[in-house]
Amino acid sequence: MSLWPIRLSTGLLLLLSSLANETTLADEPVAPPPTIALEQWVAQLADPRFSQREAAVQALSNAGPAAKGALLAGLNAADPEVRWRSALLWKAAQAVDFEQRVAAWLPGLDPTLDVDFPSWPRFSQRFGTSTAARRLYVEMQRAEPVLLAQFRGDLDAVRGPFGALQESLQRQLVRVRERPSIKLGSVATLWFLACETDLRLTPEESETLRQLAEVARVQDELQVDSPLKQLWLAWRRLRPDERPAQDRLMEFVRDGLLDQASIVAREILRDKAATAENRQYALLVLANSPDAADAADAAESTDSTDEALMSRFLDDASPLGVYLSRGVVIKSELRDVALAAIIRRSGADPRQFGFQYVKPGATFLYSPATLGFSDSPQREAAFAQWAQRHTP
Amino acid sequence: MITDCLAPRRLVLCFGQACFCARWRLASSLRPRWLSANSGVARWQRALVMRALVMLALAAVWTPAPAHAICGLELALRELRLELSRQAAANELSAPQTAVGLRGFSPSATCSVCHLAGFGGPRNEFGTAANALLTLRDRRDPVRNRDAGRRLLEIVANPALPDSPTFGQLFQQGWVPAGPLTGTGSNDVPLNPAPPAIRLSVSAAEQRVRQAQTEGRFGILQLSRVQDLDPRAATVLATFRGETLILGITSLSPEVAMALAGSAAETLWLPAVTSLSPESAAAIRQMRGRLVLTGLTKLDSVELAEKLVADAEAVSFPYLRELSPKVAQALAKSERSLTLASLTRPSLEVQETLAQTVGSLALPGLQSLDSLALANKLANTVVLLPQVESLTEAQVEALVGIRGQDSFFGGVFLPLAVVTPEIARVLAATPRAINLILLGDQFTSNEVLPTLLGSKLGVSLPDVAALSPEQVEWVAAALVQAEAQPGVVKFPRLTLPKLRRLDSAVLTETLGRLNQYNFPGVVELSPAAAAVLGNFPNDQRRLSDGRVEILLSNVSFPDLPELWPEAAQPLLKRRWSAINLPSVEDLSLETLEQIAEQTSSLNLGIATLPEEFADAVGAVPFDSERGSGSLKLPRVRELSPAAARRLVDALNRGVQGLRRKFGDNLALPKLELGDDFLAPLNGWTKLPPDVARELARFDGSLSLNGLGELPDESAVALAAFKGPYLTLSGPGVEQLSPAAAAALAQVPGVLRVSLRHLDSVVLAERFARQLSWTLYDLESVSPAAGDALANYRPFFNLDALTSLETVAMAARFADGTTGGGQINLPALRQLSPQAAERLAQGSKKVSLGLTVLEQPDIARSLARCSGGVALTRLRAVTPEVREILRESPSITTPPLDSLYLLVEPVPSSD
Repeated sequence: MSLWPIRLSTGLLLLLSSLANETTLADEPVAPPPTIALEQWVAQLADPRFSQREAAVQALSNAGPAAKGALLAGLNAADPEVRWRSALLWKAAQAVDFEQRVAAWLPGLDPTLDVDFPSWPRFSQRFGTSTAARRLYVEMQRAEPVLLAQFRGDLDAVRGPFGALQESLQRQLVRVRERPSIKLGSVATLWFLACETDLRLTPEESETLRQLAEVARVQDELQVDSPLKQLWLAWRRLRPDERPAQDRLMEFVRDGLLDQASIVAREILRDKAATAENRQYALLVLANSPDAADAADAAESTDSTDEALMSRFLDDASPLGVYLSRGVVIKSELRDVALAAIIRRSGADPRQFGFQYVKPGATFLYSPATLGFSDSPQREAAFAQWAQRHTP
Repeated sequence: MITDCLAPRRLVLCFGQACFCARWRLASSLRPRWLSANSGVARWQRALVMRALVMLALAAVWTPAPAHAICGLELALRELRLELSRQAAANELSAPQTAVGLRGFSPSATCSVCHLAGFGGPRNEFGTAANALLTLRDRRDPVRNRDAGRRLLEIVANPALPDSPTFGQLFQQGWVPAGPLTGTGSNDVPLNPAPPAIRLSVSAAEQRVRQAQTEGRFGILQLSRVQDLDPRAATVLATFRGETLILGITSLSPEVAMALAGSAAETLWLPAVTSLSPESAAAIRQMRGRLVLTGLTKLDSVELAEKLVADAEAVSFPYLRELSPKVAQALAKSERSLTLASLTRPSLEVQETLAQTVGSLALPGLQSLDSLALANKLANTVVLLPQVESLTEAQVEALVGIRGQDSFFGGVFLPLAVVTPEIARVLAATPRAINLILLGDQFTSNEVLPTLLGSKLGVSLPDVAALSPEQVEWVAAALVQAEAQPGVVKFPRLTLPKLRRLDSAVLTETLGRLNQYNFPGVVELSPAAAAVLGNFPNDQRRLSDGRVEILLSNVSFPDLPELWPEAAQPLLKRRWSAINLPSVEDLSLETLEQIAEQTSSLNLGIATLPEEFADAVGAVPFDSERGSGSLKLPRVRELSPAAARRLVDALNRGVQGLRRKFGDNLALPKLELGDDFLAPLNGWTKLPPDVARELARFDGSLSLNGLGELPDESAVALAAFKGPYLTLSGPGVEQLSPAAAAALAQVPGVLRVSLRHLDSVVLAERFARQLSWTLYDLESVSPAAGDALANYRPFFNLDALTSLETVAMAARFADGTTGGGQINLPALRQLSPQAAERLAQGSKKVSLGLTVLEQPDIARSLARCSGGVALTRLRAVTPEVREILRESPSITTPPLDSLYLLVEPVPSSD
């Protein structure tokens, strides 16, 4: 049988008894602290009596920022007890100092306030000085203070820590219990550094940075117009996007970048090799492009081009999908989606033209699968109604 | 809680899906102290033992009994709904709402139909009415359950209202008779005048009594539509010697009360009487039998209160609004439980008096709680104070922390409005992980939610439909480390059963982790939320040999009506062990194909299966790594032959594909169509012969539930089924024609049929040969079929049997294996002398549901039973039988002097 448990218990007992002795000492009345120099308090951190050491800790805590110099000296003291206690006090003082500076700086009321936050000038230059931007920066500072301190535009200084953080986050990404603990500030720091430096990311690092956008907390931030979203878009613009047009389209739509989505949509519709499935989404993007609501006022050339582009598919009977709605089977073809998109672009409601199963989509204007008909007569009637309206 | 009458397998599904946490809560409440985290026992040892406990608990629930709800009384509800459908069909009325359509009611939570807390404890109005006819001891008598369900249809839902609908009318319109504590209250219930009243003449009364006694053999005489009664007719009705006399009279004159006081019935139930004059009260309390007045809104007579309390086990007055201290004192003598749901602002004196209640006390309508003593009294396993307007910290300290509040059967219901930061701190300081249900949707302070979530409490917010972004942050911050691990007993720390729209990624992730990806109440799933679920990594487990096993999760959206392709695509980015979408009626073929790729177990709510979808859905129950799964389409009522052909072709192709890998070790897939519980309200499932022929080609296990009819030709077609299990349930298979029975007898696999009447010898022989016993609903067996069935060797359980005539059957009970080593026939009404004699030759304890015993030779036989005989339902005997019973100490009966003495033979129901 192993003797370790017995040894361990004996050790614990000895430790407890020594603590009991210290407790006895601590119970002795402690004399009121005389007015002494902060350096002396630091020296007292090595006092053999526990109560005296604790009193020194208390005194240095109470001294606040004034004790900064003394504590810095304590960090390099010969006595390990002094070094250890000084380090704890230094960390606490830093935290207090940081929070105080944040509290004063966050509202942005005093532009002259110098808080010496590393990388803030670079960050603010790109993402502004709004409270939201400041708040995100504070999150970054809280999450990765060392990395941001090391980064002064120096690529070499940050390469190693950047890789380490990326690996650490990658590990968290794939672990069920750790994934929710990923900090928004850490994600923002990685994206920021990737934007600001000329880091040549490995494919794995790029993939991690992309996957971080799928973290729940990050997702919620990307749903709204936030500094984090600007950061994400800035990083995305930097990397060469050679992905298929469909992937880019979906991402632009998801991120609410309708102008860029419209450009990709036209690209898809002009591409003779594009599939009918991809074209349906492109049509729906153009149906809902920013100028769609004001079609009449829009620049005639663009509008007519888009409509002409869309009208090409009014004869395309490529099958798209089959949808079951309350027991009714609806089949949609590309021409159906084109018609609905053109109707919508004209300012009318496709329901008035016989699209009776249409439902709003979660991402696109309509759920494309519902832009179909249960039989041919229904379809023919819809097209006839549209043609009649457009007949001079 | 709802379970299936036939298949224990489905019982587990329901336990697993409908009230998943019940298992953990149940196990948690059973967990010995040495298994707690700080006990010093290694975590893996604790987990191992807990798993064993859970398995034992499941095994206990698995015992082959016909009762499947926790209380075992759900058959009454099912019959009520079935009867409504029959009436609707006969009168060409609109079909009643489906169970899913019932407002505030989930088919997976039948308990909430009767119980205010939704999982047991004090009863609501409907539960109180049901309790007048059924008690827990009736749970093993399916015949009695069903009879009660039919009778509850005509009971007035709220006698305090001048134009109250009946419970049946409420059901017809899709309303739960008495809603749970949350959601739309009974104020919104549409008022329908009850059906027109009937005036009962003396001769009509005589005829009804005669008829009831002939048909019911000391059963129930129900005259719910008789709202006004003549004293002479009352005198006639009082001669009814049955078990219960139900009268719909709305007032009780002293003369009628005097007449009814002489009632020979064991129980007189007047559900529509709301108040009594002192004279009437004085007269009616003289009644010898049990008196039930569930409709009282006013009770002034102390003596009557004492009578009512003395007569009931669980005393409940859902409409009683006021109480004098003296009446309160009388009611407080209730030894088991007292529920006063409409008492809102009792005086301090009444509160102090009620605090002295002998049994448990529930005042769910209480708005003003002034007495600390009453708070102490109300501190039970279930605390129901959903209406209370304010609480002091001392009162909350008294109310919470009671043992059992952290179990499946316990919980504390309070309004969210009373939870101030101070109260929240008191709640959070409770050492037990109690189940705290906070009603309403307005927080008193921003501090409340973080405080509660920072504690051990399991918090449920059943009225909160949406959380603000700030609240979502609190939830995520508080619960970031909380998790629900498979095999580790934990409460869900937060449940939001009415969360309608799931669009916050953080909330989706947090709730998903905590509630095992089960999202009840959600009707809209955003692509962003779906993406979070689809991107979330699978859990992993390191095996002893160092390999890492991926643990797939189930995902469940019980209320989601539509799965948008944009949401489906990201959701189905990962593989799920099971996908539960029982309400999804709208989806694209593309989505279905994606589902088929990412799971091998699907429950989908589509009402029809178009041919185009058959291939995709048929590809679901297969996993090249794990083998076969299951496909459940509970709402499918009809199937075209072409769709059935394509479905079965696809399924069989999958089987062939997996056979190449797994060989004979392949567990064959399960296909389940229709639902037995929903069927009565959605019209009958038809099984035309051409469809049956196609389905019979399926190689796996086949369940056809809720069958309204089974034509002989269809049964003949099903005889060709070669799969391991064939399950048929529904009204259409309760009794089979000789041709259908003969055909099904040829099925080579295990045959499960929800038969109530068996007269086919070949089918009985067939059942006797198979190992699996499925005849839990069997009420009658013809002598010849009984002789054949008696050859069945394993556990022989026929709880629903109403008649035991043959010696062979009796011998089987006496000599063969039976559940619990006893003979339990709680529904038995007829026993032949020969069968009684044969039963007596065994050594088992015998428990029979006989209500009448008039043949001395039967009594003498039973007296010889060495294991003892229990006749707890006995109502009437002849003088000679009574003397035999008096001399037979081994026979347990109600007090012999309380039994009716039959001077002439009782007409047989035959």
